[in-house]
Amino acid sequence: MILPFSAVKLGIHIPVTPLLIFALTALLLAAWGIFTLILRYHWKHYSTRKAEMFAMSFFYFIGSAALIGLLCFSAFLYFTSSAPLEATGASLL
Amino acid sequence: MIEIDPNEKILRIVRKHWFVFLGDIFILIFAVLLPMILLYALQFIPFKAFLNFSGSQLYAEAFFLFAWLLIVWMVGWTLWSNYYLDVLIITDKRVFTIEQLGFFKRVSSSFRIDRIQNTTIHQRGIIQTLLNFGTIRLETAGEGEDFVGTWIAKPYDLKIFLNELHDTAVERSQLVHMDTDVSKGPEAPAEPKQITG
Repeated sequence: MILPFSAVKLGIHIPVTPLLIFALTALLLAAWGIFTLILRYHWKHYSTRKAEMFAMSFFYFIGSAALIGLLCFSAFLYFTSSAPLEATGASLL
Repeated sequence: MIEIDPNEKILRIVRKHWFVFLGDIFILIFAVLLPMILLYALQFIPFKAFLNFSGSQLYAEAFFLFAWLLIVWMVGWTLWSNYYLDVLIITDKRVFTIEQLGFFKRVSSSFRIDRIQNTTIHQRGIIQTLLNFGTIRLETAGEGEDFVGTWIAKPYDLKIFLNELHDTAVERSQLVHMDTDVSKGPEAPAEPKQITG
């Protein structure tokens, strides 16, 4: 097993760029969308009462909206915080 | 899909005891706390040397935290669905069982109540006894497999309920009404008429 600090010796650098954050966000949202379709299909066909389906939808979408909102907000803040740094880098060039 | 006849009346819906989900809850709690544990552990690992943040490190850490929590959220709903959608439905005619083994794997079966021949309860250990849950086995007539339901809450109440339903179903299937044909006169012999349930 390669220990993380060995990465320094190997010269591995992972740039956490806005593009990477954007790609991860898009990937997560796509996975969430597919998962939501599968989850709702199962609850629609295998729950015993309509009230269960309603309660499931309510709690699931409330929680998902909160987490996705915070995710996108933190990504937005990262984009805005990296823009001045990128501009500085461009001006130095 | 749960194929219940429109004429059938659902009498009881039985789910597994909450103790089954306790292990999954511990896993979810650990998964939620994992970022906090990693934050402490990362003090000893020079991750800044191989991660280059082009923006604020705080916002990046917040992003990864919420991304992880979203994944845990989806895993939690998967575990909850696997627990909650395992159901035993008792109607006035049949017993339906649905066991969700995953989103794309489930076992569902049904059998008539009047074909139940034997009901057995297994309750093992102090936890099952104190929390009142156990395994119920329903032996049915014919060559079909017996139904075994594990982690059933209040199994003895369920056994009494099923026995009463079974008695009612058997009595209904064996009930015979005496039917008199009035056109033949009052002294005409009565003809027995079998009424099936």
